[in-house]
Amino acid sequence: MMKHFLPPFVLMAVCIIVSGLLAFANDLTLPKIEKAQEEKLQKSLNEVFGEADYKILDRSFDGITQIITDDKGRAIFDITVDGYAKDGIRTLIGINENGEICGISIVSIAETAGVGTKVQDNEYLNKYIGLSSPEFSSDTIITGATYSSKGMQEAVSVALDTYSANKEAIINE
Amino acid sequence: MSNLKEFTKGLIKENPNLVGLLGMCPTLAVTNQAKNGLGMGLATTFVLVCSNLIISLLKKAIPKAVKLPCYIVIIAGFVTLVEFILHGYVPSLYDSLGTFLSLITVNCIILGRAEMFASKNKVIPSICDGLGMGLGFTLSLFLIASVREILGAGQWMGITISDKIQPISIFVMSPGGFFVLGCIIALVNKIAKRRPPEKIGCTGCPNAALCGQKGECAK
Repeated sequence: MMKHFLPPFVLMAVCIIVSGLLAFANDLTLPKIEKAQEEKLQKSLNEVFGEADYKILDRSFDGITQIITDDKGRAIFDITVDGYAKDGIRTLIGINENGEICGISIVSIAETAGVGTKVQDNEYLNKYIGLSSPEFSSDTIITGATYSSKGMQEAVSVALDTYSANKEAIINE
Repeated sequence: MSNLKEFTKGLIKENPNLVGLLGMCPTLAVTNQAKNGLGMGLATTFVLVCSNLIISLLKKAIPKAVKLPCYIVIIAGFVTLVEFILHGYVPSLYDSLGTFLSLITVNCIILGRAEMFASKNKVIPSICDGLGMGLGFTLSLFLIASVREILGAGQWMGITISDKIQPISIFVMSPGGFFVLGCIIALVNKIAKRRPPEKIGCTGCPNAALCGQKGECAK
């Protein structure tokens, strides 16, 4: 009798203990994780868009993690797209009050070093500055880093499309 | 003395990665930068040592029938803990390891050591075994990643070595990974003086029935 009941009971006990301990570990590390995430975002914001009074919009749009607005009339789109790696590029795309791209910052990148990471170069990112509609010239695709470049194009398209479709809602909020 | 032996065997002689050829998936995937290889190796070492410790403690309490599921749950628990820690304290490493961090759970080295060693041995030797195997794995990943990063990106640990030499990008891509791995395995075999058996028999050959002993091994 014992032979049949003991194994599932032991497995259940192991699962319960492990989950319990993980719940405890999660409680301990969660504040640290959130703080690290926030610092990373703040650092990227300050680097490209300078010090300003940033506010996070509490409305959600398809394909966009969050939208941040500031006191200079800019809207900054926090977007994560697939490059060569799934969810490989997290980027902040700033659009000014004229509907033009005014800055792009890469928050984190998990692309191949030396290949896909070329999309981080300012020389590349500057090709998007001033765009107001998602029509890209061929020089926004880097040879050898097609997937990463297409990911960046997708992120810019999503930001511009969402901005033009919801301009009022984003600025007035 | 024997504990020291359990520790050192994993470094070169029974290196799980270069001699055992286990854990090939992270070996090829995350070794495009030295710091990723190092991070992956150390994360795996942590999980390996902890799971070996717990499994050797619980070896009498866990019935045979549910041995593997129990091991997997324990290993997955430690992997999740590592994920929490890296996410909070080293976010950049967490980002670049991506899904391969969670995949430590199914790394053959960890389950292999749990099944082959920790479930049969006492606590201290199990810890030494885990530490040795883990550091062996780390060493191998770090070596492969360093070669790939230096040749493929002209950098080491993220620091540019020289601007004058044009990096060979293929080394940071998958073909370069296989190439470097092959060269390093060959090198380790040369150092350890391992040779293939002189006569390769038909036993264990998957094509033995089809070939009817016409091949090389019949001669």
